[in-house]
Amino acid sequence: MTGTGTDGGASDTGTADAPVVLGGVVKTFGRVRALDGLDLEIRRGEVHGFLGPNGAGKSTTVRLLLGLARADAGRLRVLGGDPWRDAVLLHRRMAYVPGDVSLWPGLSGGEVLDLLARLHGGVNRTRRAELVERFELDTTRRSRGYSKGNRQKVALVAALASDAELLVLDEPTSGLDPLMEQVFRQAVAHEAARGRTVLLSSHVLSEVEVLCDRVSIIRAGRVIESGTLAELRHLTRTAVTVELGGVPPAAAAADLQAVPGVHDVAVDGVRVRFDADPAGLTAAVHLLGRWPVTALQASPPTLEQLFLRHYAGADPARSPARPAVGAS
Amino acid sequence: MTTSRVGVATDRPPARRAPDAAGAGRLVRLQLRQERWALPAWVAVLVLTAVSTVSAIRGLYPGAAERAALAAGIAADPSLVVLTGRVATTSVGGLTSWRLGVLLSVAAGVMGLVTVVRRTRGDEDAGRGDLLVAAGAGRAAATVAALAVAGAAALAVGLLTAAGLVSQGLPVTGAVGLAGSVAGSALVFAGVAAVTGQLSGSGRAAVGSAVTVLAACFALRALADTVAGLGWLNQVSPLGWPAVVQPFGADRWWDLVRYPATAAVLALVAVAVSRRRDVGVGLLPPRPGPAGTRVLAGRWSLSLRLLRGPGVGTVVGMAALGALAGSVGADPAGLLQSTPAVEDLLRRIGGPGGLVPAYLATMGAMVGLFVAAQAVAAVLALRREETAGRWSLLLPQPLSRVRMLVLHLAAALLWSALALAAGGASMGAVLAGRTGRGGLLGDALAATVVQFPAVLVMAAVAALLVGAMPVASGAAWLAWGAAVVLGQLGGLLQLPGWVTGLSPFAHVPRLPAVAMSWTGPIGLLVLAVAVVVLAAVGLRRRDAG
Repeated sequence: MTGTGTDGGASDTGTADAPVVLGGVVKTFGRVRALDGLDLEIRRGEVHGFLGPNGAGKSTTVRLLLGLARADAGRLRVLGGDPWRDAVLLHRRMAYVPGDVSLWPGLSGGEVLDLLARLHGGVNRTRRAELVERFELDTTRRSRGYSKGNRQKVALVAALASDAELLVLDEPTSGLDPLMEQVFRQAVAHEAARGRTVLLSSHVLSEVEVLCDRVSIIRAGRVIESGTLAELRHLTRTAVTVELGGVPPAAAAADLQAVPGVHDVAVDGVRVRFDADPAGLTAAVHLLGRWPVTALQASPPTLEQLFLRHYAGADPARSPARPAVGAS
Repeated sequence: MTTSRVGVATDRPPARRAPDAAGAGRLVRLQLRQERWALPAWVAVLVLTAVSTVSAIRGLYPGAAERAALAAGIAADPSLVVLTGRVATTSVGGLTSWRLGVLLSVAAGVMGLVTVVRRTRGDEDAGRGDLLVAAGAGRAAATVAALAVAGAAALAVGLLTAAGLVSQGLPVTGAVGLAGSVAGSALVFAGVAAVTGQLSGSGRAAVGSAVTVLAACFALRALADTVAGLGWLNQVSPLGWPAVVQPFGADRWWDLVRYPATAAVLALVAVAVSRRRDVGVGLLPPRPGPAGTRVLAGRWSLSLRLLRGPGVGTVVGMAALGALAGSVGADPAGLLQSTPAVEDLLRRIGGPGGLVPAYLATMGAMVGLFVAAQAVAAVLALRREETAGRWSLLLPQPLSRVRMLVLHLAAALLWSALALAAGGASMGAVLAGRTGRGGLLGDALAATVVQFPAVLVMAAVAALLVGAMPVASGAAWLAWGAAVVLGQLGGLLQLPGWVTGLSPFAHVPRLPAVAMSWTGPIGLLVLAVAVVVLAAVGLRRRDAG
């Protein structure tokens, strides 16, 4: 299940045109391997969610894409160029929002916006004025006095107002209030509708679930899952709760336990709960059909469950032998 | 005494208010740990300078007659009197005190003020102040702790310097007087910085204000030593107090009390203000900024803007220094209108150049050293931008690293050139105006502007560190310090030519005392370009941000 994206041929969009293609990328900091053979493909026009626990290598990956750091090994193509060698040319077509925005304390927000606009070249001024208004940004405040959320807004407005083809957003909503998160989602959806490609590194799963076409989960310097949300869901279990009339829950539980692909069976009063993976779901439903079911609830795996399964638990990748440390 | 305003939930107001300096003891330990490299380095440099100066003077001028001749030479060199004051006694101790009294007082003062600002407003600017106050430290605790840490460093400097001087065979009374003056200066300027740290809007502004006070004290002292009738100014300036205490002369120990007394008053003011002030903000409210800019047209103007504060400060400071040097030189009762005997002596010591050109050349070199400090600080600001995370906004723009480095260097050096010109022009204008000799304007300008290639080399060295060895970029200050020591002490210690030649300033022609020679400046330019190329190569190869 690793790196479905890089296999390329299986997908309907061609790899040749993909704005970001990373293959087997390795980056070490001293003795720490922050990226350990990372594969990632982002297709044109998609919003790609980039998920992973702290220190998994998300920010390191982003820094490689921007040419801020140089990979030790592996293939890297960003918008058809080498992100390290062709940094200046590529940056005309990219925009970036760091997760922790640091502004010049003496400059006002408006001055920073103008400065970044001139550095970048193509910026739509009307669009920027619109974004400043929607994000309710006070451009006359000096950056020294901005809260974290307001600093984040400055970087977001600068990036969204640019005409970049590829937006790289590294935890862009950290520090934003829920209303501003809403504005952010609308803005990103708008950009995606205009055909821009977005890499969204985030911990806000609801945001990723709403915005992203495809998702990659990184763990200890490798992408361990990649695909559409539907594909990823297909790989995980459905949570089922049933109430049975006339059948003792304990007996039903014992029968269910015997079905391959059914896990974590538990009795809760008159209810029985269990998780079924895709292979076991059919058999479990057949079994239930033999009993008088009075209530049934089946919830598809949320991204959060998916996520928790990969983040926590006894995964060999998180073994103590290999500390998961990286610049984040 | 206010009662608790959140007392709704509690039955009674707290028995007593938590002291404003609560937690200062713990903060002292934290700050000592934060300063564990810097403070021992300061103390070691100060003490070693003192000890090596004594042994050099003893070794080079063993006889009373040789020392008297040296003192006569010093008295005849106005630039030396401006820098280090007058010789009071010609014993080994007296000459040591003349050489070190002002020099080490300035250095110890810088140690005190930098330490205090870094551990008060510096920590606040980084957001750590909020954390400490939220964790239960009093609002004045960081200030109290920083003063205690600076005081401990001052004590160490005092004790070790005194011990070092005594170990070189100097009398204890004089050694205590001199060491006490140096340590006292550290205390006083720690106090000054504690106050400016409360008033200013940021740590950098606080350092700027405190350095301005230090420079003003230096100017008062220089006037006291050079202009007839202004000797009383030494009573006002802490940097003039070594001349009041007179180590190895009258040894007026009780005058050492001035230092801790002044420091205590300043500390009380600082603590009183810090109890009222919001954490992380100066006393003056922040002004709103413009909603946009047409001026910040890009990379180059950003660097110019970021370096504007220190740049303007250096230009103004050099203009003031030039005016001071010019008025000293033009004083009718002063040093340049000396007797034929002195002129004869100087001709024998310094060659045929004559008194005024030699004076201008020496002052020009001094301006060059100050401007080199500005250039080094300005180049290192680029590294500070990186550690603050702001390269993460700039480099993802279509801006190459090399271009960023070169433009930043150019902006830094533009300010350097302006400061050199301002120092020379104001020195020359004052001299020319007072003496009526218009040619002196051009001479003074030449004396400072000719320093530019050496400043360029110092800036290039800093750029090399930022580009290739960013973690060690602070070492650029070591290079600058070495240039100062070689320039200031090289002649006195009679170091061999290849050692003094390590300083780029040694290759600058001493205009207008000698004719212009292009080999030195051109060599420096070539060297600087080569070093900048290495810096660019290093920057291109490394990870950024």
